[in-house]
Amino acid sequence: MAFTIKKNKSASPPDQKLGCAVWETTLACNMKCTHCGSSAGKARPDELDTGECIKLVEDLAQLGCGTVALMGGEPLVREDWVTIAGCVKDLNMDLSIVSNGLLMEKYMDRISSLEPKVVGISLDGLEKTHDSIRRKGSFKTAMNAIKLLRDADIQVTVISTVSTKNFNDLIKMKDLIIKKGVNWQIQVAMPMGNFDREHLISDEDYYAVAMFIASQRIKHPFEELPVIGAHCFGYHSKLLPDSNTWKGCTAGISSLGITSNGGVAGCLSMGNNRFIEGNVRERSIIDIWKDPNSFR
Amino acid sequence: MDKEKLVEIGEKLDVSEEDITTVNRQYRLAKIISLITGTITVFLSYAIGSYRGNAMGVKAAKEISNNYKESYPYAQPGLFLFGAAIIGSEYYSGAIEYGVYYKEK
Repeated sequence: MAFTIKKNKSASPPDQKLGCAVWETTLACNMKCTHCGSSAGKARPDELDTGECIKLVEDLAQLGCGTVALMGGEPLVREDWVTIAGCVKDLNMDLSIVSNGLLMEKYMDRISSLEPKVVGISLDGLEKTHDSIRRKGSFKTAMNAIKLLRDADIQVTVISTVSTKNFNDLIKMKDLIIKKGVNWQIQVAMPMGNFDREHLISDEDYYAVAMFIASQRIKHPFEELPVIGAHCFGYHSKLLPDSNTWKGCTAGISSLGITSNGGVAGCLSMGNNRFIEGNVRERSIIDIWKDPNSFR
Repeated sequence: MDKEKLVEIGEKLDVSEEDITTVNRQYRLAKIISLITGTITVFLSYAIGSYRGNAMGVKAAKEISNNYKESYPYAQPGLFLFGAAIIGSEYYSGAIEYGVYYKEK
């Protein structure tokens, strides 16, 4: 059945403030996660070079962007990632990094000096589950990364992507991280990229995860363990009686996604090239963001 | 969805019926408190606006006619806060996050 995309009347008007730019700095990755929606592994052949990245950061600063979130792939495998992150900080934007933690020990001093607002570390289950999803030994490196970051007084958000593989680990995962002084962001594995659709959680399990998040927020004070539902929990929140309802996606309104080869979309989770609004190699991100025809 | 079904689903991740009831109660409570706070704010704004609009009881000032029939805008912040309180009640827990969550220090 054909469908049409409803035009978003509130897509970025010329003076709309850009709150967050989520930037896939590289598609290269040192893991091969079974749920990876980006199909990360090898770098794209035409990724932005250092100069182009710096120009992009400068343009983001000119737009008044609040936070730049460096993601991947694995952002730390990019050799010039410190230069890019340093530029974000020099231009007074908040920096956040999402990593699998594998290179954290190597770069810990650099990360400390960059003073990121937060570092997101992926943790997808207890040891056996996590290692089966990511790679052998990756659980220990992720836990070590969390410890190193906390020891350096850097805020950490543990990011867990839920599929049928780790659904049953959630309860024990809470016990694992509750005393670590971290935030816990829970999201659902989306049917994109490498993810085997057979492992997509059912409608009922989706509800169960949402209720789990809500109940944990009541059982544990926010200072002890902030449990956060990622944006993917919003779409059907109205169906969950008396829960917080979602007010709509911020893609192209106050946030955007940038691919490693310069493509700009409202959100990287849309996973479809037809949502690319332009490329920073052809038009500056300022022009793309301010174009009234963008993100519609 | 009825409560029985919700309880059945919740049990999968150790969410008890009591937890579900508490979540619902807390959400309703936040709504009610925000409405009461908003109502009080509006009432006070109108009361203050009315008092100031009557020249704060100063007789000489009260005798000056308001030829332009301008209204006194003191209630407007109250209305704004009322709206903000309602929106705030929806977001009070910051449940939906885009990007990476962080706590403001």
